[in-house]
Parts: sequence; C-alpha cells; structure tokens
Amino acid sequence: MTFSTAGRTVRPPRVGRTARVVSTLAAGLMVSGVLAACGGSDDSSSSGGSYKIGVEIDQTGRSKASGVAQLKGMTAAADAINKAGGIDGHSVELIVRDTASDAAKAVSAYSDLKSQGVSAIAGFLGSVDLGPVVKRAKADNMALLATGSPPDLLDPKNTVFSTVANVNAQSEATLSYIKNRMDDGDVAPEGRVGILRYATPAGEQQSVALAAKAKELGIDIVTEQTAPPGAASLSSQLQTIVDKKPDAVIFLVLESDLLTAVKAADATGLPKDTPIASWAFASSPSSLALVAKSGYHDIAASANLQSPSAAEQSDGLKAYVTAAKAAGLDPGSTQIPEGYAQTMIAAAALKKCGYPCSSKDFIAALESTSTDLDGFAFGPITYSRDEHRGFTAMRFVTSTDSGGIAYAGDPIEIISK
Amino acid sequence: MTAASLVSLVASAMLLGSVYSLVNLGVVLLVRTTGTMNFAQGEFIMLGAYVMSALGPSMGYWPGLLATCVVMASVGFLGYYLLMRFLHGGSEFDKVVLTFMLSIILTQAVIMLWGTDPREIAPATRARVPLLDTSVQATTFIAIAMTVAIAVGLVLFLSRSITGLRMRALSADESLAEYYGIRTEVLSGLAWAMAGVCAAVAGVIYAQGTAVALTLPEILLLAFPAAVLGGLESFEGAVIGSLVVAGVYTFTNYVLGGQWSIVIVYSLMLITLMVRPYGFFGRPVAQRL
Amino acid sequence: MTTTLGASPQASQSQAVSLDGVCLAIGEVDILDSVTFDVAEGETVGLIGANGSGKSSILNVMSGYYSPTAGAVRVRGHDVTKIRAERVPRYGVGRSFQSVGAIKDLTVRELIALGVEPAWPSSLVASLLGLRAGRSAERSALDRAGALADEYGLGQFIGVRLDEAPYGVRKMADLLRVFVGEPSVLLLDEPASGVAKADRSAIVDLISQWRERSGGSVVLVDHDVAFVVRLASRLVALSSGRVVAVGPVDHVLRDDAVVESFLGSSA
Ligand SMILES: Nc1ncnc2c1ncn2[C@@H]1O[C@H](COP(=O)(O)OP(=O)(O)OP(=O)(O)O)[C@@H](O)[C@H]1O
Ligand SMILES: [Mg+2]
Repeated sequence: MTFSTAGRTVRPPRVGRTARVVSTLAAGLMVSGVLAACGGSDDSSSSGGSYKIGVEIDQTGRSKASGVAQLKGMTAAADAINKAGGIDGHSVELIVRDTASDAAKAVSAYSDLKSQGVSAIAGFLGSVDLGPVVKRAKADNMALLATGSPPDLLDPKNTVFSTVANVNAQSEATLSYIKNRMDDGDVAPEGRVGILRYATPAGEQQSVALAAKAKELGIDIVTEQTAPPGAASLSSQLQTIVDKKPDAVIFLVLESDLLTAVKAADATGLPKDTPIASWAFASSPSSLALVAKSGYHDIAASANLQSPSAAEQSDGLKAYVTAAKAAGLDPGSTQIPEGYAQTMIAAAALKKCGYPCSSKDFIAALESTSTDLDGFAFGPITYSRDEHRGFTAMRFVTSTDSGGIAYAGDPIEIISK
Repeated sequence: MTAASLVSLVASAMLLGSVYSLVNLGVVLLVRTTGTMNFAQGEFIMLGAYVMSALGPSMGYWPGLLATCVVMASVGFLGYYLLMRFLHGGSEFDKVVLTFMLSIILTQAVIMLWGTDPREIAPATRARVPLLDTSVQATTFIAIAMTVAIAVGLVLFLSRSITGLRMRALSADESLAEYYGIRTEVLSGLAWAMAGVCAAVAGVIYAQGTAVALTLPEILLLAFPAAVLGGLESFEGAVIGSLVVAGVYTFTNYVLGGQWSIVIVYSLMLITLMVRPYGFFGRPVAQRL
Repeated sequence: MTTTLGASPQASQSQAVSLDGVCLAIGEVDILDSVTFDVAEGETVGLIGANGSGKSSILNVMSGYYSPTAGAVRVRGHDVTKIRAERVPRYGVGRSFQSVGAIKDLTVRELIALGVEPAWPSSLVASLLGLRAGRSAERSALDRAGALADEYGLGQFIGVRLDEAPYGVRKMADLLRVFVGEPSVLLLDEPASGVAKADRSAIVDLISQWRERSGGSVVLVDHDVAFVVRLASRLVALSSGRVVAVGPVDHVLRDDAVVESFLGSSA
C-alpha cells in the first residue's frame, strides 16, 4: 500500500525502524532459543580430551517433533556417560546442527561437522537430510548413524548404519505378528489384511518387501492404501479398507498419523475388535494409550527397545530410565529411547576404537560391534562389513487398561543371524 | 461403490471441507480487515488444539471449547498488540514476514509447554446418526453447523455492522482509517482476536478427528489452495473453495489413491490461477499477497 | 517575509485553531518553516499556494498525522501534536481529502456512514453481541448517511461501490462523511478540485449551510482562488512551506509577494 498522491503522502518512516528493531529482536530471541535447545552436552568432566560425535537432526521444520525428542535422548545418554567418567576417561561431546528438514542445510552441516574432526555423525531422521550427504560420507569414510534411513541406503557399500530396526524390517514384522495371531486362532486363517502406508519412495520399497513376505507367510493383502505423511484426512483410504472387510489391518505410518487413521477407522465403521498392527513410532505408552482411547483395543506396535512401563526390566532399561530422569525427561516419551540408544551404540564403537578415534577407525570398530545394550534391546544389535541394519529382533507391545505396556507374543526375529 | 460408502465419503468430505473453511475464514478475515496475510494461522490452529487438549479433559467439551476460544482470542490480540502493531502502516511484505516469526514463536511455545508427544481431544459425543444403511458420526454434523454459524456470522458482521464497516475501511487503508477517527489499533486487535477464535474452533474440530501434534499447521498445504480458489478476499469464496478442495481430495483419494490427490488439488489451483488469477470470488482490483 | 501580521481581531481564547511556529521536516526535506496563523470561532480561512507549497502538509499536521519538528497546533486549546491521529476527530475536527480513491470496496452510503461518531465502546460491544442497541445504532448510522446522501443529490448512488462511482460523487461522498460527524472545525483539502463547475455551487451551499447551523470554523485549501474567496473571509498564502501573507482577502490578493509567487499572471 504505497500512495504518493499529492495531499496525502506516505507517513514518515517512524514505523519502519521500530518494526526492524522488533523483527531483529524476535529473530534474535528465536535463534538463541534454538541454540539453547541444540547446545551439546558439556565436556567439563573430560580429562584427556573428548570424543566428538556430530549430530544432524531436525530441530525445526517438518520433523521437529521427533527431532527434538531424539536429541533429548541423545544428550541424556552423553550426560550419563560423562557423569560416569566418560569412555576410558574421555568424555563424549555432541556437536549439534539443525537440518530443519532441508537438504541444503544438511549438506552444509555435514561439511561443518567434518571440519571439526568428528568421529562419526549421528541423528538423521529421514532421507531428506541423510540422502544428500551419503555420497560424500562414503568418500570421506564417515559413518552416518541414522534412525530414519530408507532401506536402500543401508546397503553396506555405503557408510550408513541404522540404529533402530529399519522400516522394511518393521513392516515385515507386522506381517509376522499377524501370522502369529493367525496361528493362535485370533485372526481368521484366510489372513485377509488391509494395509495403509505412505505414498513416498520409501513406501514403494516397503510395498515390494511386504508382497514377498505376505506370500511367504500365506497372508492375503486385500488392499494397500496410500497417503502422504500428515494427511488432513484418511477417511477415503479407510473407507476402501472397510469395504474389503479385512480380518486384520496394518498401519505403516507415524504416530500422529496412526491417531488420524484410527479416528478415520472409527468414522468409517471398522469393527472395534479388528486386530491392528503398526510401527514402533507409536510404541510409547502414551501414544498407545491415546490410540486405545479410540475404542480399538486390539492394537499392537512393534518396539525397538524394552518399555519402561512393562514388567520385565533389564539392566540396560534401568540405566536408560535413570539417565532419562536425570535429564528431566519422561522415559516413556516417543523417540527419546531411540536417541539414547543411538548415542549408546556410538559409545560402544568408540570404546572399541580407542582414543583418539578417526572416522575411518570408527567405521572399522562399528563393523565389529555387537551389543544388546545390556538387555535394553530384544536381541543383539550387530553390525558387520556386510550388514548395516543392526537390530535383529523386535517385540510387539499393547496398551494395558491401566495405561501401562504389555508385550504381545515373543520377540520377532527381523534379521536372521 | 455402495450407498453406505458414498454416504460416509460425503460425510468425511463435508467434515474436511468444514475444517478447511474454518482455517480459511480466519485467513480471509485478517486479509479483509487488516490487509494482512497471516502465515501463522496454521500455528494458531495448532495452539488452539493443544489448549483444548489441556482444558477439555477437566472442563468437559463445551466449556473447554469456550475457554479455548477465550484463550485463543487473547493470543490473537496479544500477537497483534505485541508484534504486528509495530508494522502499522507498513508494507504487506513486512507484515507477512512478521507473521512467519510469530509462527515460529508459537511453535516454540507449544514445544515448551507440551513437549513433542502427540495428544488427543476427545469428541463432544460418540453418538452416530443413522443415515441410509449406514451411520455418520454426530460430531460431523456439529462441525458443519459450527462452520456455517461462524461463516454466516462473519459475513453479517462485516457487511452489516458499523464495526465491520470500519474494519473494511481499515483493510483498504490503515492511515486513512486513522484520519477518519477509526480506532485502528483496537479494531485490528479485535480482528486478530476473532481470527484466534476461528483458529480455536478449526483446531478443535480438526484435531479431534486426527491428532494434536506439531504437524497440525500443515493443514495449510491444502487449505491454502482452497483459499486461492475462493479468491482470498471473500468468505463465501473461502467456504466454497474449501468444499471443492475437500471433495476433490476425498474422492480422488478413494478412486485413484493417495499419491494422486494432492497433485490433483494443486493442478486445480494452478488452472484456476491461470484462468482467473483472482480466484472465483475475488475481484480483479484486489492485489494482495 | 510576512507582510501583514497574523493577528486576528478576536481574543486568543476564542481561537478555534492556532498554529504557532510549526516546522516540519521529513527525512532531509524541510516541508514547513515556522508556520503561524489562527482561525477564530466561526471564521473561514482560505489556505492558498502553488503546487507543493505545503498546504496539505499543514492539514496533515493539524489533523495529528504528522508530528511537527517544532511548534504547536492547538484545537480549542488542546495540543493535537502529541496524540494519535485517530483521536483528533474527537475534538470536533473533520477532514476531507484532496484525492479520493484509496477505498474502493465500500458503497457511497457506507463511506458516509464511516463519519458517524461512534458511541465508543458501547456500540462495539453491542454490535459484536448483536444487541438491539447495537443494531439500532448501526441502522441509524446508515440511515443518517442515506438521508444526507439524498439531501445532496447522491440518492441514486448510495448502493454503488466507490470504485464504480463518478469522481464527483466520490468527492461529494467524502465531504458528506465529514459533515455527518457534525464537526465544529472543518479542514477541507481541495473539496472542489475535479468537480464540474456547475456542481461547485452545491459544495459552497453545503459548507455555508453547515456554517450557519453550527457556527463552526473552516480551513479551506484550494487552487481555485475564485472558489476560495466565495467562502473565506481571510487568506493565508504559502510559498515553499512558509507563510508569505496573512489577512483579509482583498489585502492578501493585492500583496506583491503573493502575486509574484503564486497568482502570477492569472491574478
Ligand atoms: N511524506 C513525505 N515525504 C517526503 N516529502 C513530502 C512528504 N509529504 C509531502 N512532501 C513534500 O512536501 C512538499 C509539500 O507537499 P504538500 O502535499 O503539502 O503540498 P500541497 O501544497 O498540498 O501541493 P498540491 O497543491 O500539489 O496538493 C512537497 O514538495 C512534497 O513533495
Ligand atoms: Mg495538497
């Protein structure tokens, strides 16, 4: 709105300057807020120098919910290690860069972290930040520890390592879970299953893996519906699934989309006793309890790690709960255990590597590491020269009436040893 | 497609259309009254949903919704009073940039208050209304009724009331309105408060059918094309555009699958922009954005 | 230099408006330089000067929009330089605009209704709540606007959008917006510019009727000296932001500096 008609000229710029001051102030506040959130763990306990691990993770942008939580878990683990005297006297320092779900930021963060001489770079929630740096990391011999790697990047010719059960393995595990329920007589022997998955490249990769696994297990996929992440409505997809009258349903979506999916299932009239299986993203006690509120009581989600709300408690789980509480976190919160585990896996490799640990040595160390994190995982997490997927077992969890967690069935082997 | 599927698809399209309408009514309201394109409307909606998820369980649905509206009206007013006010008479671009900042501040506030785990809003009722040989959730009809009430209320308020008239003068020219003796700051604050109320209702209706999560602002991805179809300056256009987008989205999803629906909605928007750059209900003179 | 001292016959407390040494600079540009003159109660003062001499700027300062770099502007003794422009109308100041066209999507009647003094804040609350008081206040605002439009020959245009109305109608509507608020001090910026000669009499009538009824004061800006002198009893002549002459009409029009700087050959 700029008028320069005679008689009523634009007001002198008293506003412009104030605005600029305010904007700068606001920007400054935000930046400092983000920095505070990203501040790495303190290395005050270090005596003989510290191990440096870079972290590329979303603190803003689309995936910030998972990114913020994961970083909290990672920091809690580093703090616990450092408080206990570090790794053979050397503390662990996390150097954090926000990728903001942005490929360009991921690339510049990579160069920055590399120049700081980190032993490896962790974080990596998805293909957006991981994809663009994979080639350079391979050339630089830099290990990338990811919680959200697409299956194809885990090919051992790359330097990408998964620190959770990868999504293909998880998707196949949901079929194994349904198969177990069929064997128990909970699901009709025809095994007619409806699937909802993401309409993304990774989703297409899963689709192929799922078809093969279903054939192997004798499961009939009656429909496979797709949706973009964060869809405002999943009603049409659920309508199609309901129309096929499936014996069981599999939702291969993230936590908040799982809530949307069960609400849409309710709206379109999917029977409340239909068995439903989902990914680990919804395996926290709070999100399973939320989902159970919809009235679908037979929902199970695969879990990467033991749940603090379950009866069984390993030493590794207890250590995790202590570390999370020390950092003021809710141990049952989503993605915090995965962040904690990632730092712990890196620590296991660093211990093997010795100090100092070059990025090349780190890869060699990690490729000979096998740990179950003191029983925190359901089976060994094993890496080798030709296996970068790590997790070998998962277990399905359901919500109990009291809001706790119960295991559904035995651990499921997702990578044969 | 059976009659039952058709009924429930139409119901879900209407529900989604209501949500998009409420989102866009808030956007159009601010364009029409203060000339500001508010890119933080998505975050307003998210905040409304989080507030309701916190108040609803203890207060009950309707009192909780009322309290959420009051909270969001205050947030809207403060957003104007503490931030946007300083751009009085400034360029539209600066204002848009500042609303971006506002959106980041609101997101950080939500993370600080509620963390990153999704939350839930329990619906007002779980009753279902029988229709043909199926049934539809009663909340769908409630949502549609609330949307209609708000849309009609806004249209009447702006076209019939003297306060609405002054707000329209304000959007045409802030400094001129000031010369006319119009209380520009009070009326702008009021408009922002009203946009906050729209966002509160939109957020509650949207999140009770999905999840209360940090991804809620992404509703704008599809609500925005709907507003563009409607011309950005007209409430009627916003509602009709929203219903069209929701219908196209729902049915292409059902018929063609999820990978096509967004592509088709965006193609629709691009074609509209080529044929009628000012949308179907906008006026060619209005050159905002 | 000022050829006639700007003392008006009345005592200072009966001044409707007074400007005292007003200077205005915007950025590096000096726009007004020590402007001093008074307008007595019931008096009409004409403000004349060439394009860009600062006439509109003086009205902008008087209506509280520009803050002068020095000097004071008093309306009935209230200093309006320190308050927001939106408050100035509450002292009875009504201002019309040289160019009309910024507001497009209101109807003629709606523009006029904008001038109705709001019964703040009760009318806002009442209108938000849809109370009867609010509704009747709104109806009476629009009714008064419609009646005034009828009276001054705009009856057929009341429902027409401003950007579709003829220029003269827009100009008249802007004047009626000022009058409907029942001001006691009028600041009129070229009310007759762009208006057909024949319609100027209507504007003169409008202003003189209001003057008789209310006994108010007017500051009238126009290029057309012939038009100004039909209403004004005194003139202030400006050149490059400075007052070059103040006094009774005949006196100023015969002033050498005025003839030279503004009237030129046309005088
Ligand atoms: N906001 C502003 N920024 C810069 N210069 C300005 C501003 N407002 C007015 N001016 C300048 O001040 C001078 C006086 O302008 P003003 O509009 O008051 O003149 P005017 O006598 O009303 O002229 P006209 O007869 O053309 O209406 C002009 O040179 C104008 O360019
Ligand atoms: Mg002028």
